[in-house]
Amino acid sequence: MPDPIPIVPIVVEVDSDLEELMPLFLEQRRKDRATIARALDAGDFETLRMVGHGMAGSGASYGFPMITAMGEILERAAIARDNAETTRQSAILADYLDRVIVKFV
Amino acid sequence: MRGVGFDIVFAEPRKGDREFAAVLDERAVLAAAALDYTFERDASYRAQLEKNSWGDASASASSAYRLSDVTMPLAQLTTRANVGVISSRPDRDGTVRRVPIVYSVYGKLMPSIGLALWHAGSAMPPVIVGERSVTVGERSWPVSREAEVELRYPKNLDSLRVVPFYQVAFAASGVAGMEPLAEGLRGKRVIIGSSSAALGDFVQTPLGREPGVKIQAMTTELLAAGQVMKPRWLPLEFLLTLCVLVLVALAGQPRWQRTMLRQWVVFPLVIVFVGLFVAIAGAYSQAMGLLFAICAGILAHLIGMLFRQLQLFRQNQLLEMETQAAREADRLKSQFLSHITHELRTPLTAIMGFNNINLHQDDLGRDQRVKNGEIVDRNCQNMLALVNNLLDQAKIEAGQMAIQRHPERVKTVVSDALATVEPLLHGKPVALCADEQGVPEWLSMDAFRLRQIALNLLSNAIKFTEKGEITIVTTWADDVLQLYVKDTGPGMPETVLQRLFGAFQQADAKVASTHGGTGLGLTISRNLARLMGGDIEVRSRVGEGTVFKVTLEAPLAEPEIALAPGTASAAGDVAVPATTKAPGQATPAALQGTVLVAEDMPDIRALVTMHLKRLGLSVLECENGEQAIEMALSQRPDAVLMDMDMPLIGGAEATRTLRMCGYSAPILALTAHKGDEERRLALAAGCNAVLDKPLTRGSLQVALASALATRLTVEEMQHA
Repeated sequence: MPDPIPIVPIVVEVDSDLEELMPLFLEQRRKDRATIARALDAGDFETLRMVGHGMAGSGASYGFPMITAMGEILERAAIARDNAETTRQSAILADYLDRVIVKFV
Repeated sequence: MRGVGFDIVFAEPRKGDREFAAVLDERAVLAAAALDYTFERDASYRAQLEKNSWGDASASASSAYRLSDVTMPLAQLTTRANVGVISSRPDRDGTVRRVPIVYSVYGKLMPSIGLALWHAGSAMPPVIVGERSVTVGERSWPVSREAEVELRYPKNLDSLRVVPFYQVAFAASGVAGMEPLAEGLRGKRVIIGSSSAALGDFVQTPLGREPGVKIQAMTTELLAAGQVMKPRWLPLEFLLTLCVLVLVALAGQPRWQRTMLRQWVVFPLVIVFVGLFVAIAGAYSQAMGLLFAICAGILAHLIGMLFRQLQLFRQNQLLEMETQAAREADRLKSQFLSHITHELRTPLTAIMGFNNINLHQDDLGRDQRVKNGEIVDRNCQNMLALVNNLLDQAKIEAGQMAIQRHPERVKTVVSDALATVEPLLHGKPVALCADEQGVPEWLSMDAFRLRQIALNLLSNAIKFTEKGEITIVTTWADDVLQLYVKDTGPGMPETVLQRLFGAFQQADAKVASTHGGTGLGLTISRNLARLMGGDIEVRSRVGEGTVFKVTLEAPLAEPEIALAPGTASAAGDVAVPATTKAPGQATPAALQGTVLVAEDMPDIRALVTMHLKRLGLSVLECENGEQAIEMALSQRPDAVLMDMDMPLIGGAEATRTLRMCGYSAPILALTAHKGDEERRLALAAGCNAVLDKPLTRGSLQVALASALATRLTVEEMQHA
């Protein structure tokens, strides 16, 4: 049996000013993940668009430009009703949230 | 006098005939009029005709011009005097070009009055009427088959002297005072006749309408001088015309048409040859009616062709220039694509490479991972700047770049631009200075584009200046704002200055490789300045630094309850990461007032609230447009931060409603869309400015400081 692929953490350094807000931010992203999963099942592209738009607006503001990038791609894919891309971005977001570690500086 | 011709037919008896007959001798020639019909003539007429003829016409090799009849002068007048026939034979166009010189009348040869006068007073020599000539004694004239001579009209026809008859009579009678005329008539041939226009004694000649008597005199002179043309000879004319046509046909061959030079040599040569033929014909007194007509036609055709060739030549030149321009454009396009591909690939390679290292190398260590991340971030910024520049350039070239003038403060634009570029110094010993000389507080201009120009010039100056200072100076006069960016860098030679503003041009390949960039920044800046009614000039010397001078139309403006869009929007040229503490943000100045934050995303709302509170502001929060309207109207905050994309009632609609309800405080739109359309919709709805996400404390501070200051100023003015 091959060795399991190790999970490589993604460390994001964030201004310590934002420490008290970080749980809210991360909680919101986890909610986004769940919302995306439900919307994908239901084919609800409008919800996918709104979630993507929210991620795009908040990610970089909290020091997570990757989340902004993912949000923008998700929003565009939802507008284009691109099922494959929305699914892919959903997976990337889930993977990212699983691996991200916040470090306050 | 040598001879006297009477261009008058004395056919009827009149008083004084006896005396007249007595003075007429061999030197006199009386006119006999040609008739087109035949009379029954008696023996005396025939005897008179026989006496005055030059022999039998049947003895000639060729027939003289045949007349049906002639009206002879009275017989008693022709006892000693000669008789000459007068007739007029105009061409179809009514012009007399040739005259018969011998006639055949009832089988007798009769001279024309001109020939008779030429011969008057001399013994009758043998007369031979040949096929192509008439010979009288030792003189011969070329004639047509009908014994006509082609007259070569002299240009000085007026020199033939015409005097009134009474003067001639006085001169001949020895009247005192007429001696000069008598002397002038001595040894001359004189024609007497009518020159009355009223009596119709005029004929049409190639030189104009002339009296018949003058034509008779001229004919006599031309015969005496031998100035007659050889009559037209059709075989010769056909031959020469054929030669000309062959020449033209040869000249029209493609081999002679290949180059403009050949065309311009061959056609004039043909014209010269044709002219030569005509000249030779003239030299040999050869009449060339058909050839002349054809040559004139060919000449006109050749001239037309020459003009056509000239037109084609110009068209070809134009096409050649257009082709060259197209080739040049194609070359520049290829060069541009190659350059841009390189510019995109380079940061992409770095991004992918360092990102890959960070993702897959566990033992990298934090410091190295951070350094790699910074490299990735820097390359992302470069790519963003490149794409923004390309979009701007495309907009300018498509004529879609619109300038939006608002009341703006130059001081704010300059301080914002300086704060933005300060991090680019990276610790270099370069001082950034600003100087303002007499610039009014509020000017009507596009602050966003002015900031773009200032950022471009400043970042260029920072790139090339290793030590010393960079100064931005602003002055204003006559509605024109002048902005100078001076640096103490290495300067540029003249050769570089000449192509500095060309698209995709950089000082040299070394600059491109060392400092990066697309070579578009200055092109865009100059185009923007020109769109704003100004320009950019540059002055530089190697070793003495560089000065860029920007001029813009910027008339005075009244302050508005508005924010400068350019100063409020931190998006566009330079993105400031959330964790970066931009200059001036380390110790933010405290702001005063209450701000309503209308944002549906709780995390963003919380973040903005936190930033605002730390800036010293009181914060009201709501999560949709409906609540925003209600709270803004009830609690009257000093400013509103309005997210554009909210459920129930969106930010644009909420703003519109607030404005309709008289809410006049600044409303700043928050949007994650970077397009101009979103910005336009927000401003059209009544927002004062647009703040792009991501939001930083710095961008919020700049925007709200301006907004609150503006509000304060307006309120103060209202109170005053």
